[in-house]
Amino acid sequence: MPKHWLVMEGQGPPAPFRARLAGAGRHLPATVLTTDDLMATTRHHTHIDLERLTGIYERRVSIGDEDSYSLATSAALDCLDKAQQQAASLDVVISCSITKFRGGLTQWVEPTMSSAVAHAIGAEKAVTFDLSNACAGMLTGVTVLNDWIRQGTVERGLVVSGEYISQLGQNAARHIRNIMSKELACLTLGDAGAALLLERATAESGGISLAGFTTVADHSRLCLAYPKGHDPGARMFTDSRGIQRAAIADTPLLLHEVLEAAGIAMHDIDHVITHQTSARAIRKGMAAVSAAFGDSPRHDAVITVDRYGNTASTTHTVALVEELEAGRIRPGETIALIALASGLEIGVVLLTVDEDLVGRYGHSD
Amino acid sequence: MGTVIERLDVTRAGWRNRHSALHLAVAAGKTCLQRAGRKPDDVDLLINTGIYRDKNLAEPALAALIQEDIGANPEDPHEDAHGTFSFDIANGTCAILTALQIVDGFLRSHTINCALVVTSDADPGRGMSEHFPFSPVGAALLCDWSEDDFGLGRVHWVNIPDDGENFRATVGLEDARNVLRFSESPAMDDQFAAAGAQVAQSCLQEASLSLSDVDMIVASPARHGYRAALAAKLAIPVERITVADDESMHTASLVSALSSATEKLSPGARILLVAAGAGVTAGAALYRQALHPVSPT
Repeated sequence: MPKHWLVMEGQGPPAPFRARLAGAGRHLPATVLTTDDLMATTRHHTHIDLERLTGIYERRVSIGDEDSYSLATSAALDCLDKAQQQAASLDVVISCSITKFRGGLTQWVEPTMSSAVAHAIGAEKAVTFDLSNACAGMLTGVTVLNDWIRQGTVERGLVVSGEYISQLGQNAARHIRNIMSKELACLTLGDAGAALLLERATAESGGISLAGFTTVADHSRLCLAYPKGHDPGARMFTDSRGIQRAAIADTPLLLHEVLEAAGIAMHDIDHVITHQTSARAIRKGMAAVSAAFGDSPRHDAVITVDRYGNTASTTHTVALVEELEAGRIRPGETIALIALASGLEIGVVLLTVDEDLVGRYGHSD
Repeated sequence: MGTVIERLDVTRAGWRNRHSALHLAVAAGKTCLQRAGRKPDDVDLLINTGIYRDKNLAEPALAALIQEDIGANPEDPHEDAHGTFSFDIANGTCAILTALQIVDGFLRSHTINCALVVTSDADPGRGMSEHFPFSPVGAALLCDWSEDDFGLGRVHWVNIPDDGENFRATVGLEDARNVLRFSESPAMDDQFAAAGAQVAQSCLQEASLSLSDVDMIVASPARHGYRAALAAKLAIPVERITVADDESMHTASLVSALSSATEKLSPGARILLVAAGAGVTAGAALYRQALHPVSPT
């Protein structure tokens, strides 16, 4: 039997069920912070053209009126509303955010964010726990929940995240001196809440066909975030070029494994949603993938980072909701959600959306 | 059929690593693998459930750093080999049970063959914490799958929301410093025990068993007050409940208690695992000891 590098769900004996996406919700703060306005706050003359460098011209930020908890809760309610499902029917709530700010910039370590969100939305019977895997958190949560649903352990669950992370950008603005700064990536961050509702479906129906992940731990120290000095919240130090180099080198082999396991070709993928770090990095990465395969997905990779910035673990869902609301995703189409996060985490979730889900966003086939 | 614990180890801190949850987890993980006769590369899935860590690190998952330091397939992916997937779980003193439930799912679906669950807590020190209440301890569990009638049963959970009133840990800016602080209520042990007893009873009820059918009750946390309150609520002598020998252990306390319990029990023995923690969240599961020895430290 050939070995896979990815830890891949969906390769074992046939599972009794499949997990379908029943809803996707998000909550974006109302306040818009343009890149020009953010760069105007830097303490030093940095000579950095961040918009040209990243393609980000604005992001949404909390001005202290929202935090990780409220963003997650609002997104969870939006998701349940879209799915027309009651919170009381949830068997599990997994919170996957990096930030756990509640009551301003106070990070709650215990109790869990998931138990607070579950209580707030009325999911009283749900099993709760927090999962942390940097910006791959939500897709890791999806991978765990997908496994439980496929095995019949649970019937319905919510993967949720609230990221009040723009404070790191404000902190970085006080320290960055030039383009070589390890805090440069902090300036790309925006705030958002996101939630995905997965539920049991028959083994023959659409839904998640494959979820695979790996941690390339030799690169685990390329991005570190922790509270430091007198700055509120935390600071983040990133070797962005190192991460991009490793990602471009490692991703083709892993995508080959996914396509082979799923029995599809690259052009069978309709939409690709990658982690949203910078528009330039996404285009460069996808060009490298297309060159390696001599083939491309049907549509260009989805880009929302230009409007919302890098919203950490919520980016895939924020982008997915954007595409669903715009009617760009049609029933039966296959979406590849590609995680790339500190760790170095690389993961792929292959998902087919059904007519019911697409219809919830006002569109149909 | 079920998830069996092939080996478990607990590592206590020395003077050099008492402020490093990373070093404690790595030491426990390496010891566990070595004593089980396994190579780090055998690990398909690595879950870290520790909470209090070096620098109060938020990103990446500490599990990724642990994976690198243990040497579990840390290199760039290559053909005809398998990698390791790592992430963190946070669920306080219940997190080991959560991790076992996740591992059980992936073993059951044949997604993985071998999982390492590690946990550790340490005072980050250097002015980053105030009145840190927990002992610096690391622990590791190596899990695989048994086709026999051994291993982990269904994990049951209950939440009795208290908004952190009974126990809370936060990191916040005060006097221009980010400091980890703790608060607990006098009723904490009683509240945790109430949730623990409730979930233990539902676990037994579903299996059509009573407490007399169980060879040992293994509980977390290890606090004397909680143990006594749990025994009272279950109407059993306190001696029937095994907890870790250090009542200040936190996320490692269930592993330490299980380690003591398995020393005394023979294969096939039935253990009731009960964990309760902040939230209030509590979980319980039955575990039937496997045939191969589970060697404590």
